[in-house]
Amino acid sequence: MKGIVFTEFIDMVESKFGYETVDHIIEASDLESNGIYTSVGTYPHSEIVQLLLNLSDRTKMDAQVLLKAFGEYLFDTFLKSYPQFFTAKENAFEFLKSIDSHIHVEVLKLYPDATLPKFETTEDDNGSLIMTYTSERKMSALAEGLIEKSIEYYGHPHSVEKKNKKEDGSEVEFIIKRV
Amino acid sequence: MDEVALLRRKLERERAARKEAERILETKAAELFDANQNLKKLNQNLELEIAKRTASLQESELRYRVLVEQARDIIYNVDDEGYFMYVNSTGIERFGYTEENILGRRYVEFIPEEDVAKEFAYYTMVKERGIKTDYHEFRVKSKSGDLFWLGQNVNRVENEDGSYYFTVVARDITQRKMTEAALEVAKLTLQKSEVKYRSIIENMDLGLMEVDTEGKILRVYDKFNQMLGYENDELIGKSANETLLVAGYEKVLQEQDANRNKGETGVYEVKIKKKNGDEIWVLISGAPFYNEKGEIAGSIGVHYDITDRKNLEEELEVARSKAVKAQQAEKAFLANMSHEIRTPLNAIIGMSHLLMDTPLNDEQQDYLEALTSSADVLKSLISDILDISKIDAGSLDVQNKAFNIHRSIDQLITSFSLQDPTNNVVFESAVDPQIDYMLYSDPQLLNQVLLNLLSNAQKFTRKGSVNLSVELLDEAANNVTLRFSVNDTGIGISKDEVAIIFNEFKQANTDIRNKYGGTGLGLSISNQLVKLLGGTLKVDSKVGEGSSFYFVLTLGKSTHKIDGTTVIKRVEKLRIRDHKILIVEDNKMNLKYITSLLKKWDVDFTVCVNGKEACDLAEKEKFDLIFMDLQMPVMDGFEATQIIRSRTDQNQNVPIVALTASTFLSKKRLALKAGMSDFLSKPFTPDQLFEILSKFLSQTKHEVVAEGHLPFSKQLDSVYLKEAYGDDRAYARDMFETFLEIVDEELLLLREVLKEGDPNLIGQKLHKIKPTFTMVGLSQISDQIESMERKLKSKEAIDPMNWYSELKSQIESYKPILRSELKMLSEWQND
Repeated sequence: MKGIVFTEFIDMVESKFGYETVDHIIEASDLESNGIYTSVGTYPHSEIVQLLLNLSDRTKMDAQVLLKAFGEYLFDTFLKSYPQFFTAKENAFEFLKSIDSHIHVEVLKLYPDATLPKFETTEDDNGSLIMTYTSERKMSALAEGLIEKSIEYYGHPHSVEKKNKKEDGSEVEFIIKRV
Repeated sequence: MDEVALLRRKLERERAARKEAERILETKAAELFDANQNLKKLNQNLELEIAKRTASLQESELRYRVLVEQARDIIYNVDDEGYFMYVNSTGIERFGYTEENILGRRYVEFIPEEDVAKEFAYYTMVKERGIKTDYHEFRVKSKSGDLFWLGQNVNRVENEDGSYYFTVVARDITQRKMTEAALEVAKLTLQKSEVKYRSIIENMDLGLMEVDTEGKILRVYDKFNQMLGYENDELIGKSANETLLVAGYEKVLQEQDANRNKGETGVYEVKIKKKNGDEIWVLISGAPFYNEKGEIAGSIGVHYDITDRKNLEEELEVARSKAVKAQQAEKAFLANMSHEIRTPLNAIIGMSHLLMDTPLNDEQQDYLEALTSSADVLKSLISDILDISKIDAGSLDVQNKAFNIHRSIDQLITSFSLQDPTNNVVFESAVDPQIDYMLYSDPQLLNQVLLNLLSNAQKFTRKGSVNLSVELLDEAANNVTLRFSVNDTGIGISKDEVAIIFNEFKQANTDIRNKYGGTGLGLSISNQLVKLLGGTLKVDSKVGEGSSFYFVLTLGKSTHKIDGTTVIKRVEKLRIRDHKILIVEDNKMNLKYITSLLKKWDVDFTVCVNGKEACDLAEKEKFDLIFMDLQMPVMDGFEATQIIRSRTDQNQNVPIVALTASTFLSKKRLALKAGMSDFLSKPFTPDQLFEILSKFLSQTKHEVVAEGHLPFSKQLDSVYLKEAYGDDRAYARDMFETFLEIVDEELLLLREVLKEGDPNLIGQKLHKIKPTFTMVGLSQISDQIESMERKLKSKEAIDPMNWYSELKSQIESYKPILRSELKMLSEWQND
């Protein structure tokens, strides 16, 4: 998993819960990296899972809620660091459709070893966008946070309905309707 | 939480993260540097490659220049006015100039004066028409005045400004031109010789005709006209096939015409008609001929009148088919007659055997023996004739069945060993033990061949040995090649006689026939049977030393290994013929059983039915062994034994073996007390009988070989039956047959005795009939009889008639099984 996910996660935890919590979840987890993350590095997926679960433990908040909140937080970072991806598109649908076909392609150019989730998009007869998240990492809540924040960014309200296609969460469908 | 410690950890983590980031970035920078270096290297390689290519281009240009210079063709350039611009060294040499002399000269200067006008016209034409490439042949004159031929390819090459020049590749073709001239002369000579040969053919008895590719007559020769009675103009232009061919031969001609058009020759026979309508047979040799362009222009046929020969052939064919039909009729007659004769003959043989069992005086006995032996000879002769006609008619089916060769050979040799009464000839066999699997062939035919050869050997061998061997010559995955040979130490056959002995009705010489008898069909049949099996029967022989008949067969291998577990014992050769055995027994089944075995082993015996008769016989004749039943009418076995033992004569110490159906030891003890030497419990197996013979006659030997057994019904005591009969069908059949013949009478007798109610008589009767049932596999009936015997002995209350009717109905229910067993055994025998 790319280092930026870890550094941003640590930043989010520090800003929301203070460094004491950061210190706690690092110490409570068994980490190969010893909790030392840089955005240019790559770290095992299992570490973010441990950090998330320990955060959930510490804060008594649901891990999925935390993950979604992290998605929302991450969106701001992406917007700040890579504004061109957002300004190039006129609306939320255009942007969401471009994740798989454009943004992830660009990511892979820079980081050929990155493992990215798949976002297949289709539009149904009612004009809704159906976005299918597929990843063995099962972090659809993160995706949900990102999706909702990007809709907010483009200013037109949409409803987002989430459906598990596979019970283990490795395949999840988001039905996004214009309101 | 210690704030300071927390901050320190945060600081440490951030420093570590920075260091980690620096390390990653440095690694990336190093990778970038390496990639850059590689690019630089690639660039340098590219430059080198370009330099190399340039050099090789220059080199190839040089190579072409050298090629042009060294070419054996003349290569030159002329401008549009015909002035030489370049001439290669071959050209300079051939024209006889130096390079300086030739450049600037005009091409027309090299043309002989008489050709100049023609060549000028040609080049003007080429220029005006703007022809780009052209081939042209013309004569050239060198500086020294030599004339030679050039054949040249000219290419017009246009410059960018529209002007042009010519590139020419020319070759000296003087040699070819001269050859062509010589060919012209040769062609004329050929035409002359053709006229000569044609006139020769015309003088022969061959009719020649030429037709075009459509079959229209182009030319006919005088002899052809004479052959058919036509004139030239009556035939030319007509269709040869329509005018001359007799209907029915169109197909032959079509095929031949097609071949001719493909350029093939052919010889064939057809009928053609003369002008007057008569038809003649001709042999035609046809060949295509060609026009000047080398295309097939038609064909020429040489006709030879073969009418006389054809007529003769037809007559011969008619005669031959008549002869074949006659021969077939004769064979069919022979086959029918043989069959018809066999039926009454079987009756004669059967009747004479029956007659033998009736009381006869010595004279009658002699006549009957002569009658029987003549009938046997006649029967084997008829069988041979029937075999021959079957083989000739091709109606003999060759089977392909799996069989055990060891067993087949063994049975054959055993039957011969036992046949020989004089024991002067030893029969032996040797089968390669490596053959431990079943083989595929027609075992019956093979058996017949070997039987014939063995009989032959037996007939001509008075002393020494007859040896049958099967050698393994070659073994492949699916088949084996075996050499079968029958060797004897008989009278042998001379070289002249070897040539004819395989012919039908031929024996080595008439002397042999007089002395040894026979029809002379045996070897002929064997020879043909071996052929049917895929081999050839051969013979090596030396007069006075013996003969060896042999053949080689390739037989299929079965995946089925010979099963070594179904083993029963066999007597190889009983050397007990000098012994004489007396059998005292009143039970027919028992008698049949024991005498059959003794006959099979070729043991001499005498039979009587009670103790009294036994005593009388023992008084007159010396016996080596006596089998004595215990319970008999008139005088029982105990008494008879005591009498024999009490006399001081030749039989006083003879071994006497009790035949007892009793399983009670007391009975046996009683027997031994009466002076008997041993006892044999009925029913006994052949092995048990043999043990007794071995014990008291001691000169016998035993051998164990692999053998099978008969498939008896599961409803019978198959354990006993297997033990008793092994695979001896004839024996088993006889026993079943006798049982079915006597059982009703025996039951009636039993009923009488039971009705009378005398316990002693009942006990005796039961005891007597008990073994009878075991012998056909009805052991449980025997068991019931035995238990009844016991009840009688212990004086238990019984209801004899009720018991009898139950026993009888059980026996009745077994009868169909026994009959079907008998049928199975009989069919097999005839198989």
